[in-house]
Amino acid sequence: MTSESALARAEHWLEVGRPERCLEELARAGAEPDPHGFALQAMALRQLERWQECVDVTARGLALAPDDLELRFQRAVAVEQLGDVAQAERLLLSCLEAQPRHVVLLTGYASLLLRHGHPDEAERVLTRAAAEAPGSPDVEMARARLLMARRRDADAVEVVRQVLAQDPTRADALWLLGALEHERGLSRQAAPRLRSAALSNLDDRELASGAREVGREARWFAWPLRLVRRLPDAAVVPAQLGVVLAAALLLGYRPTQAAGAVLLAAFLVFVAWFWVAVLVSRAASRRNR
Amino acid sequence: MTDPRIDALQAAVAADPTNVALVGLLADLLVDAGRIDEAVTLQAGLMAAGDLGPEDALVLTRRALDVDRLDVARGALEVARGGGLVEGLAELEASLQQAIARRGVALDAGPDTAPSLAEDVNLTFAEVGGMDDVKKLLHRMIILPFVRPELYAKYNRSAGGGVLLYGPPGCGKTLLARAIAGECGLPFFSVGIDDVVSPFQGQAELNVSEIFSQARDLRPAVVFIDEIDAIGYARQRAQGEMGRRLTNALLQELDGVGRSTEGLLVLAASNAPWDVDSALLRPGRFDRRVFVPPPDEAAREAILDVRLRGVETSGVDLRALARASELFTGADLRATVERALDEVIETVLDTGEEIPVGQQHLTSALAQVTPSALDWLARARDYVEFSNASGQWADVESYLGQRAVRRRLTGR
Repeated sequence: MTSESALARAEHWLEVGRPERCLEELARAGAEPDPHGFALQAMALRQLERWQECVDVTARGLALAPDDLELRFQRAVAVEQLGDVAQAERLLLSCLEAQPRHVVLLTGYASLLLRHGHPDEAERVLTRAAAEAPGSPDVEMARARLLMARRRDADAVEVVRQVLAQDPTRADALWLLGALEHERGLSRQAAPRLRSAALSNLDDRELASGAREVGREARWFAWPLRLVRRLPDAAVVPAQLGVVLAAALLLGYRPTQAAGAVLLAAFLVFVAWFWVAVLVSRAASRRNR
Repeated sequence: MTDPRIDALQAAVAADPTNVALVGLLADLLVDAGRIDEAVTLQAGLMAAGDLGPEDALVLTRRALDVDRLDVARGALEVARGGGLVEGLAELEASLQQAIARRGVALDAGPDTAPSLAEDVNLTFAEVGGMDDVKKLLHRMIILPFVRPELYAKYNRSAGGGVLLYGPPGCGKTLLARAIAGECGLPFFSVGIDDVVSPFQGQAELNVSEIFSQARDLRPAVVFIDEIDAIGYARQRAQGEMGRRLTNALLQELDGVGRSTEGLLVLAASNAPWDVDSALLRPGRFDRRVFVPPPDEAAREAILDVRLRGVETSGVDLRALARASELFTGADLRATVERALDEVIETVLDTGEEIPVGQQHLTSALAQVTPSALDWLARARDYVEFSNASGQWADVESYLGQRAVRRRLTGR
């Protein structure tokens, strides 16, 4: 059995966001962990997104302590990532059977339902969670995602703003609000939020590159992109076609003066840039979300 | 007068410094010849490499005590203890404590007080290869106020305070901290997570307090906090109570640095300065920050030289290799040499002909190793860019602005 000191150190490494050091500490301790040690190991592996190892560790832990809720919860998260949604749901339901008022379990289950296309059931579970812990930031964040799934982005923004009013440094809220604002063409507001979110997790290279891209879009020369973002998705392609049509009309006009030629060339370059930039930027936005 | 047996054995040990039997034999002869200090240095090398057995460690403890090499004696005693020896340890421990007390390093530790955590450090800057710019900066910033206090007193400046050494892992921050203590000739208290975190409620804070209390009693002294990002983690991001409590405890101790603990130098090292609580970086705490970059060319050459020592080489141009290994850390260079040696061994096994390590082996190995500092530098770049605190990290910014670094980072 792992010594208490080693477990305390392993737990500390997890607390300070160093899952790899937590695993090293447990490995250094040598002995086969007890259920708590297995749970720490599973949490670290989950943070490192080493899903199969997480499943293996929870299996060993659950063989020792079949009723351990922490191990079952970690296993549910890992098996869902590996594509076994049915098992994940079974595990979460078994946890909820033992602890029907556990807010983390309720929120986790609602998130799973939402991710797999059951927003109505997710809402019911979230209502239960909200009744247990009114105003809980975790529950509110899950509610914001539910609203986004229902395309009620404006309501989602309100919810996330309330979460940030409680904790202005909360990274996932900053990121979600930044992504929502970016999609609505408010890149100048989104950029600092996304920078703060990226700052809180420098290990995530995608966060950093997303924040950087939005930062670029917040510059003055990207104003047409911000304009396009305010349009609904369905209006983007017609707008682009309109610009191309305008270019074609201009091409039909034969300028006789050099200034006219320069103007036309500049317009064509702008059209090309506009067309490509919108597509690239849309893709970046989808990735960030 | 030289002893031909010693000369012959010295040559043999130079060719194979990890041969424990040879080193033991040479050490015995040196002791017989009255050259105990040399014998201790030789065996201390084995101990540092982890090649010293517990019996030999016991012998080394006695010899080190004889020549007043207390740091070696302490290390050797721990090796003997760790190796399961019991007999004679208590007597040696008592001798060591007496010797430390004689040198004014030990505390008056009663039976109920914690054992002394201070170490004597003999390392100096001369033993740290390359890194001249960093060493010069540290000399001015930290060592001179201790060595020439009268000059600094004239300008109302005093020795001590907090200095944060930060940079990619494996670039010599801990080595530099030890060298600073050695240069100042001060007792050195090294603090890591292992020394602090405890499963018992409140004990971690007490451990921090105990270390600082011992250091204050021995002022002037150096307290070195390794991985301060783990002990002084940003409180708003900590996922549990222990992290927050530890940071608070550290803040309490550091606030004493500016008031009643003059002469206490608190050095800290971090691979992740962005994870350190911002309160710890405010003036009066770790307001002086020194970026320790990956080893420069001279340091890389020195590291390669050490790594290839005792290996038969032919036509190896260390300077050219050092030039070609920009951004490589010590660990990367070790990996490079190991790859080259593996390649040579493969060839020997295939052909049956023993060949020396050549430039082509090392160059080819160099091309296969990616500098591990690149990840760190990419994170540092993001941090400086996103944090809007560029002025505070000017040295790392200027490093990131170098053409070679920019090129490597852009190519990722």
